[in-house]
Amino acid sequence: MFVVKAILTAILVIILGLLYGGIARKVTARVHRRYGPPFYQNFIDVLKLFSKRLPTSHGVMFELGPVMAFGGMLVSLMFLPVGRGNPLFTFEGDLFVLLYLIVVAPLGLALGAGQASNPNATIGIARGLTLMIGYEFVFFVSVLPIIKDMHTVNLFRIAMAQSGSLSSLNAVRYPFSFAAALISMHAMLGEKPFDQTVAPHEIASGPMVEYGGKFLGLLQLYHAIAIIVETGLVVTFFLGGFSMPVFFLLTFVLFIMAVIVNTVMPRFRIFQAVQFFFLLPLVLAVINIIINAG
Amino acid sequence: MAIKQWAQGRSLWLMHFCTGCGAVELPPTMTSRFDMERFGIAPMATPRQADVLLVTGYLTVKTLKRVIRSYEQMIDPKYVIGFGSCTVNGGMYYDSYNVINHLDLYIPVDVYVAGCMPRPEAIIDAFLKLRQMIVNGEADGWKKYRENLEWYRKNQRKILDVDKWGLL
Amino acid sequence: MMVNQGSILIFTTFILAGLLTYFLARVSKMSGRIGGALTGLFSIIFVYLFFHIYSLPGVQNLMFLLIGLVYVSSLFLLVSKETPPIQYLLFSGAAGSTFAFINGLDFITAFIFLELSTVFVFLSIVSGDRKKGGFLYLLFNGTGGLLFLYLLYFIYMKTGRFDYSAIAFLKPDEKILALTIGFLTFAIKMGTMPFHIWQPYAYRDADNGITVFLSGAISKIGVFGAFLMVFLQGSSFRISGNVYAYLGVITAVLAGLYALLQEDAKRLLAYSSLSQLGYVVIGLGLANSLSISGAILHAVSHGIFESLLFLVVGAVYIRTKTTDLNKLGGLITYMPISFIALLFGIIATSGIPPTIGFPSKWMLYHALVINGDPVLLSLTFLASILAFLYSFRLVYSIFLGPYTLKEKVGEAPFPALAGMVFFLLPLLILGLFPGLVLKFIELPVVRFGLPDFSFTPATLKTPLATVNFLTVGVVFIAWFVVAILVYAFAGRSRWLPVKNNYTAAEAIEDERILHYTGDFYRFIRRDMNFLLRHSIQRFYRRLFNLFGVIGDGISRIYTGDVRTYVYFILLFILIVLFKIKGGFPCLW
Repeated sequence: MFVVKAILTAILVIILGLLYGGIARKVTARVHRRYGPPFYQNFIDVLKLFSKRLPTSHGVMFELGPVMAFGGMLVSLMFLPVGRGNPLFTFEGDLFVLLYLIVVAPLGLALGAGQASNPNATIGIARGLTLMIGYEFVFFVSVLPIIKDMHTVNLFRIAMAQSGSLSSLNAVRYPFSFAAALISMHAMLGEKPFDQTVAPHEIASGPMVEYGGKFLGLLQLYHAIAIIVETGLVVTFFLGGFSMPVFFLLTFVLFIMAVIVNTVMPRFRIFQAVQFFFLLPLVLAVINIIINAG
Repeated sequence: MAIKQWAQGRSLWLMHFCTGCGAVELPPTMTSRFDMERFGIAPMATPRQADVLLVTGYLTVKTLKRVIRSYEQMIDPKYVIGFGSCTVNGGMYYDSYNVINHLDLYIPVDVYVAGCMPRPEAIIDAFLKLRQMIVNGEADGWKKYRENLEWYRKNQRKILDVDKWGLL
Repeated sequence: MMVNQGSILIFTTFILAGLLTYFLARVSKMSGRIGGALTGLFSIIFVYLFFHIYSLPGVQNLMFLLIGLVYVSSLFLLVSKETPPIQYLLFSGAAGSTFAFINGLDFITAFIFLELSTVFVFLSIVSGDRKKGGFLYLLFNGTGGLLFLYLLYFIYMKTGRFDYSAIAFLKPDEKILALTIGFLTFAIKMGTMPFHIWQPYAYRDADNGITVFLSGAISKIGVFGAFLMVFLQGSSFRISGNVYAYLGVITAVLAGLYALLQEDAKRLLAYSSLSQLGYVVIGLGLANSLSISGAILHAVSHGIFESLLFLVVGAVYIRTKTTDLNKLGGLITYMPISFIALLFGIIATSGIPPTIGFPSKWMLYHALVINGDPVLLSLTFLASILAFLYSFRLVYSIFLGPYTLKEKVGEAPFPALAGMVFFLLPLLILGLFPGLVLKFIELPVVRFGLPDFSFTPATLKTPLATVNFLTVGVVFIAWFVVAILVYAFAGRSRWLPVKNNYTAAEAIEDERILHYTGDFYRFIRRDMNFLLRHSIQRFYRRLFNLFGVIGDGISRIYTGDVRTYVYFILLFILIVLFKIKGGFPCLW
């Protein structure tokens, strides 16, 4: 039963993630006053990437990198409570388990891109890891008051404690932390102004520079899951306790918000981005800790 | 098979090799006036990710090296669109000492867009034609290139040191 | 005034084994290698048999197992290369005194073997090519030894006893003093900031086999001693505990930052070792049952993964004769097994499940959340992000990227590979069953009471949450199998040479290597400059300069002119007379 539920969750999330990506492309196009691709364009892209012949490879770790990224994201998905009352599948997820599992995927991508032995790829990785100091730290600081008040790090309990009235939502109770978490989620998703890792015009799409064919297809799937896991993490902490459809709706709303910002923003330089994280979002998160303590 | 070709036809990732004046026609094709993303055509950063090599304009010997290298780095199935008269027969540079006249001699071209310059409508039309060809299984330039590699190499070797630049 | 008999026995065994190996190695290299391996294994088996008879409970036993593991592995590394005969002897001495220290349960034994281990390691480092690390090591650890001697004296004066339990008879304020001195001693051993300067140099300059032992086992003297201090103080420790926790977290973050900027693999690992031991200090500083269990578990996992990393770097050194990260690259082709070992090592260092690094950090985090200090908690998390960064840099610069060396190299020698496997097994098994380690420390930790915390081999339960590490591991492996299946069914791939790479369609000459490795985190160096500019090292250098100035002033006394000496003698007599008479003497 567990296994069936797990596989169903994975398939559902992959489909939804690709769909979100497609709709995001549509939204971006509309902001540009274009018509945009069909909403199912991402499915076609993945299908096409998997249908390419003999994708080029630079070695074992190069090939295992996307596999590790995809698998790592699937594992983290398993520890994220999706909706209320255990509708599909969740292990007794714990914040620290999830936070540490989430980095498996970037590690896999980094290792794979490392063996591509392309300087562009490595610069992208170095930037991505540097940026991680900013956003992971800020995200962690922003959820601190919640952990402290609820006296649990069990994600499911944190989500469920918010059900009931609107005022019991953490987003209402900890508005500054919510803002900080949204900003760090934006960077987790790698949307502009925090897309230094990929930066297609600058370092030729960074870690992905040597990936094509099925490897790129796996990375697309990884990205599809990552969208839901990363927005879902924020939803669990700040807008939790709703049923599964509402959970997915909220992740969608957060993602589209990020995409709209992405559409109109330029890119920070990497040290500007890190400095930014240690100025505005960190201060916001700390303000809420102080308010909470006082 | 049919679904693979259907997907390949509807998702054409593009690497534009912008030489000469053709490049200027691409921004309007991408942006809101003509919007090629409607057809699933999106620009990509590297040859590994791209399906279509768009050669816009004349090729000197110096740039031909790069075109060949980029083309050989792409992953099968891959397609080439020759853009503008220069790729067809040299165009207005037909008698220049270092401009190649027929792109077809060096890499297999699936679709030509004639004109100097072709309008964005013509580019999109070429892409739709390419899509049709892929769906029908007619866009097999990449197969020809593998099968007749010696012939292409012979032509390439006449004008450049292909052993250094080619990667296949 | 009795030195522990068991400790002497252990130490003698190891010294004899070392001497035997020394003479064998003098005879021929091969006999030295075989003899080293055999005598080393024999002595460790002897020690285990001995301690099976007088089996010790708790942390002591755990430390024995851990140090034994590290000992065998560094022995493997020593015998797999050209080790000078004297190093075998010194290594055996250091190992013997470490075991003897853990075994002894009184201050005299502890002091003697603490000093002996310092001396042996010092001799071992200075018998190598570079000596700076050795002298720094002696300076700091010698100071630590003196502090410990003072502690011994202090406790003997107050209670008239030498065994550890004497601390219980002290008055509360004396207890705090004794604790502070003891903790300082062992903080120096662990390299907690601001006493960390010796560590990067000593680790860099020591023989590679010795470095494995230094990082994995000798630092455990510090952990064990600090644990004893906390353990013996019991509840009175909590008063000063938070100060130590802050020291620990500062160590973890700053050492992590320094580790990012190193260009030498061994120095990078030295800083990472410091950073990880910072977590141990945090756990000991918080002084509740959960945090101390976490700290001991983290000490064990540190012993395992850090030794594994040093072992791999040592094996790489055997093959390439360098540990400079800027010169290495692309070794994965030639040393795949070492790569896998290093990969798991860094996964454990970053604390990613399903390895041993995860449960220990998990426990420390829970202890920190229960403790409720947001600064401590968030900085600890920052340190673990930094761990992720520097460990990626390590694996990338050595094993990934293009191959940079001229000649081809072979896989690591067989004994070193055996050592790696020796570490990989506990690394993975204990990651799934952390309770196996916690079983050892259940009894001693109970006395700290709070908070409510229980475990089975695979499950840990705190007031905050319950996690089954076996489930995490199984889910992890299951989804990886799924991902690999997806990958395998998507068709084959075509392998390319490294030169066939996206370079904006430029052909790169064969001799030119495109490798982004030097100054890897330049962004951080630029951003964090304000933090790194004021290093402790500078403070020490200024202190050193100050002593230099004072000494220079004093040395001006010796002018070389006889008359000045006469004046000095007269001055001296005057002062003496002044002292005797109690006033200016009447000379007329």
